[in-house]
Amino acid sequence: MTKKFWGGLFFLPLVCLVIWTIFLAVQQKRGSEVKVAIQGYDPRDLLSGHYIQYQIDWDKTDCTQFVDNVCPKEDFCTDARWGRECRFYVPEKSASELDKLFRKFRSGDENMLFEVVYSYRAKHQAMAKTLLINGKEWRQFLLSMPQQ
Amino acid sequence: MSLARKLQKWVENDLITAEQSANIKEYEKSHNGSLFLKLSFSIVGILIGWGICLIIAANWDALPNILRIVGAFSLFALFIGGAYCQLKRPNSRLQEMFLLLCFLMIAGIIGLVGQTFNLEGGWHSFVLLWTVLGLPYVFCSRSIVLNAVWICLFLSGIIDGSFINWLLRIFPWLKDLDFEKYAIPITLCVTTFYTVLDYAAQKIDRYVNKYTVLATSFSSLCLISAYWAVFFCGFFYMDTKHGILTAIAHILVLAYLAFRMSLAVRAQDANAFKRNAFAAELYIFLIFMSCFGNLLTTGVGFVIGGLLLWGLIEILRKTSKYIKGMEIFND
Repeated sequence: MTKKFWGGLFFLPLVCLVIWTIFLAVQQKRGSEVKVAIQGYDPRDLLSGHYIQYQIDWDKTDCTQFVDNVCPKEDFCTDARWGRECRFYVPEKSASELDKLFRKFRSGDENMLFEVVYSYRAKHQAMAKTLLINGKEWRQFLLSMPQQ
Repeated sequence: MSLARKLQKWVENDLITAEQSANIKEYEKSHNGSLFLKLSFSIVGILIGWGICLIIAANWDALPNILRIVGAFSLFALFIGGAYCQLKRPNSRLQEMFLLLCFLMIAGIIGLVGQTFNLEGGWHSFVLLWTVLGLPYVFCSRSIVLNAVWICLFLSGIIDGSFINWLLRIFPWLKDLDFEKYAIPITLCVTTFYTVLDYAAQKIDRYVNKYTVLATSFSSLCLISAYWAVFFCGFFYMDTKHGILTAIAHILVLAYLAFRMSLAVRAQDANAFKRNAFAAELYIFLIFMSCFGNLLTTGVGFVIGGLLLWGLIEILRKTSKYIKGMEIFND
């Protein structure tokens, strides 16, 4: 086989990954922003590694932000063996602090509202953009918290 | 029986000439077990490369998303360019290194893009995408390690957890087995028993110096079982945080391999020595892989582990050359 063939084959994965990334970026850009309330679903695996695993709390979510005032549940998160799995990635340095907050929120110790801002287009998979705690972006919320 | 003795017998029985015998000796003397070195350096490469990636990952929260993605893609293009430039040089170690880096880089980029866009999806979707996209590099690589890793990853992507669930549905009694209660004492007893038996079998074999099928089969069976038992003990504790017990299990595995290596040196068997040395390297690599903690500390640990392993390989290489010398010239 020729060098050109191998060259093409070597660069093929790079091209595929670039196309995939551009597709995701365009999809995220074209969607409109919607806010959904979230809840934890498994106390053993709230913050696995450096991402928060959660479920969407459709009862607390404002469905008027969607077409026909109906929440499109199927367009959010992917199917997993234990239900629909959603993830939000966080940096390692903030992981433990967020983990504590999320656990308190689950156990009902603190009156907090966790929401995720999604980029959403009808009939497309929604993409999480940022995490809000009591309406504030999570980084700002952590900064505003009193230091222990 | 050493090669020198074998050659002497073959010359005596007119199977080869004295000149051919001398040529074989010369060839064996100069031949460097390249497979051993390739496998060893692949492990060192993966450990150090991964370590560097983790150190960067620990600190790159400060970088904006676009810079991270462009940086990762540029690095990937650089590695592909490196592999492409080495195409005209088959068996080049540099090409193997670039192919390995390209393969690892795909996983890194999938992870990075996944984090940037908060993508969901389990192990199987990640690993299937990685292995399918990484196929050109694996196909071109001559490294056994890379090919074996690819097969394992691909199979794990297909099987994932769904296969285990299916198995448990068919054999529900598997759930009731209390492995933890009996596994360790049985494993320790079996290991001790087989190690003594194996040592005795080797002693008998050396004194009798006669090929017997039953003894050889028994010895092989013992040997395989001993390896299985020792590694089972090590792997059982590898993923746990039992501290002292984990350390004892690791010491047991490495001590057993060191014991096997010392037997190989005594028996002047270079191949057996290399097999055990490679198993020890692989085990050390797995220990470092299992100790995931903070990104930075794990990264530093991987790099130090890779460098230690490199030093070990150099020592082992010299020892195997020494054994080979004895194997050829010691009558």
